[in-house]
Amino acid sequence: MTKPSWKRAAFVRRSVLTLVVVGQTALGVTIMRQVLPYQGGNAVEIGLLALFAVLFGWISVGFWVGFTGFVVRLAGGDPQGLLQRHSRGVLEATPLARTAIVMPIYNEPIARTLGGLRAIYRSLEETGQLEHFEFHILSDSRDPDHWLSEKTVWYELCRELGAFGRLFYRRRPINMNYKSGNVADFLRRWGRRYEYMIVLDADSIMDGGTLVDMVRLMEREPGVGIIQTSPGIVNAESMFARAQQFSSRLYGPMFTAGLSAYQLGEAAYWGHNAIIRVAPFMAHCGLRKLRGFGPFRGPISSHDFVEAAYMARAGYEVWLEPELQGSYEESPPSLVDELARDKRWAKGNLQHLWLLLFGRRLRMAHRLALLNGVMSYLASPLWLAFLGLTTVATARLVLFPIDYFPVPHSPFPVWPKWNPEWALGLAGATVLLLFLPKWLALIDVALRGRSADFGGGFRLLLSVLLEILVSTLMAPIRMLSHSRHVVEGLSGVKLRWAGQNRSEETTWREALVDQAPGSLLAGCWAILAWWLDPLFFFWSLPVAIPLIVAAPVSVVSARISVGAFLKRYGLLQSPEERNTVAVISAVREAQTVVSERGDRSAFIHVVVDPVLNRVHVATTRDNRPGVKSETIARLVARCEREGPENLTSREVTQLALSRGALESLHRRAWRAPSDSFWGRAVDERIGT
Amino acid sequence: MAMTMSERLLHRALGYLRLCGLDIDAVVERRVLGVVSRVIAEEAVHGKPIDETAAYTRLMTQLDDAFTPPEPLLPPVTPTMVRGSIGYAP
Repeated sequence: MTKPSWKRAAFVRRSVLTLVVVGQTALGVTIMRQVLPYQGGNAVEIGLLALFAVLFGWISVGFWVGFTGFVVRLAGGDPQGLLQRHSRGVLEATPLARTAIVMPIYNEPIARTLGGLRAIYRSLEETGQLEHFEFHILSDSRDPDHWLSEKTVWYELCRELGAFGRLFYRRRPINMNYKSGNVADFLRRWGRRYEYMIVLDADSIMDGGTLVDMVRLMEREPGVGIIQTSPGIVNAESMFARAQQFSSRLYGPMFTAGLSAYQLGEAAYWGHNAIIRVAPFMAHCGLRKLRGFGPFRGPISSHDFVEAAYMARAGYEVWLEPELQGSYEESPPSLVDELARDKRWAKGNLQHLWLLLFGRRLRMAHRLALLNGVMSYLASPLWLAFLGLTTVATARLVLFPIDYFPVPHSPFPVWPKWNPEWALGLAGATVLLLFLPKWLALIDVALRGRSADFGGGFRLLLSVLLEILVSTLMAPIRMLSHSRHVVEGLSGVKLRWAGQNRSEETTWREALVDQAPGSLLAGCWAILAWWLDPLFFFWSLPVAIPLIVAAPVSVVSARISVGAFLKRYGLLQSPEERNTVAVISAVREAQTVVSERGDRSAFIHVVVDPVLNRVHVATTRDNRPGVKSETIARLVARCEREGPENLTSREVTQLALSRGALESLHRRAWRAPSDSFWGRAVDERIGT
Repeated sequence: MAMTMSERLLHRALGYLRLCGLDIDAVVERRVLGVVSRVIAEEAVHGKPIDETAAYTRLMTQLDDAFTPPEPLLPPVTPTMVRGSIGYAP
């Protein structure tokens, strides 16, 4: 059997990348050695050189991936790309297969998540291919008011969209193994019904045409197990989210093109906005619990990279297809929220170390993808350690007499040397590696004549400078937080899997509590640096200042008013803000429609409303195993007397899961006197 | 101004039927008035104040007998199950 051509291309490209990165890192380390006073002649300097090698290599990879993306896009796309293999006509003539669109949710804002699903449904309807798709809302929500509200909105959507028998709702009674467990639960029950499934996140938005193209591509490429799209960030309101959105829309396509050029058929799966071939996924991608120790024991929390690795191990290709447009997601609204999310991701990615080292028969490309995920967080404590060792080296020079014989038993003295011009050169090179790709992305947009999408040439330039300022201010805050996450992750701090905040601003109190330790640490470090050597103090400022002002940065960047101000002046603008995208506008409209139906006291609503009560009764089992009928009867009596507010969440759940209890409470509520809890609830509902 | 018992019964009856999806027209209103009158007559004994719970109970029972609201369309919450298993490779 001949190897597919992409494998040859992948080998050549990856070899060249390795050579360039290794060569560049070796050069960087050589220069760094010259910068150090003892040229790596003591333990501290050896540590510094080792850390520098890892970190310089890491940012070099990032630079060359970006640069490659720039070149690929300049050349009009990657000839090895999946989408390039098939003409538009061929794709359009390809019949579709039955596909499930699954949206796992967990205590998410209902208006946004189900509003998004409504928009996707409508968009798919417009393609005329709706008959091939079925939608599944897979809820893991625990709060009874929340999931009753989800189910109510599901019913309303079914009625509004005419989606009876096409839009389904399933809530797992027991949450096991996080999101991957939820999807596995779906697959065990209905996986065999579908050829493909498209996995969405709670904030995913996908254009109907893109969904259809994804299915057709899968039909054309039977050897492909997963196609991952590159979702762009949209609907940003706060300054923080706008900066994320801007960078995702300006730099994202270039980096994705570069990444895809190296990964080719061995790409990663990002957990959402991707299509999966169900049969091999079910056969080969089950996630065993890890059998290691501490954090390396138990369910895998970051499932996606591992599933991609298993799919490839089973002989299927996994592609990242940057040419597939119409795939979107949203950014956390604030730094605090991003860091809260990163805490979970950090622990999940660190778990991959175990698979990286002990996973059997995984492809090298996927081991490297796992390493890449690990390094996304592990780089932070390494940077922190680098700064720590730099401080130690400076302190040694200042506080201790010069050591002319740092090498034990050597008769030759080592004269400390300072090469500030080398240090500046190296710092300049590092800055270049970090920021040049951003300017390349700007050139890429200019060459394509798309500057107007980003507010025009001048605003685009200002926006890039602003984004650089924002990301520079946030980098040290992220570094410190990620370091803490890594330490917590490795020390086995218990993971709490919660729904994400997708809309709220950060309060001063929240920011101060969150950032005070970092600010204090940075302040002490800056004072120490000044005391040691004023020059070292100035070197420390790019890290110390952002940490000291972390709380105000955190609050201001989360403000929607600041984001609105920037939007008014066309700063940090993204193409979707200039050119209306139907499916994104539909999400905004759907949010309004759905939010009118959502209800915080959904349980009361379900008890009182005759139609909703009948719907919930009809879709609820009569007796829940393990709950005695006497317990339910007692709870019904208490709920009738005192209302649900005086019941625990667990008790309300028991009632909501009992068909008999819902029927009985409904009957009792409508017979309740006006001055009782249920009488008032009924009167409120009928508007008396 | 506080509503009288008969007004409260009328409001609750009309509200219930409306939420059940019934179109409230003049015919329905006349029939509801009839039901409320009967309930008042049956509950008001010997000039004592009407027991509210008993009146609402009687009202709801009689409404169920007198009206047949449209059955709500009930979507299938999940499709037919097609069991499969997940493969766990080492």
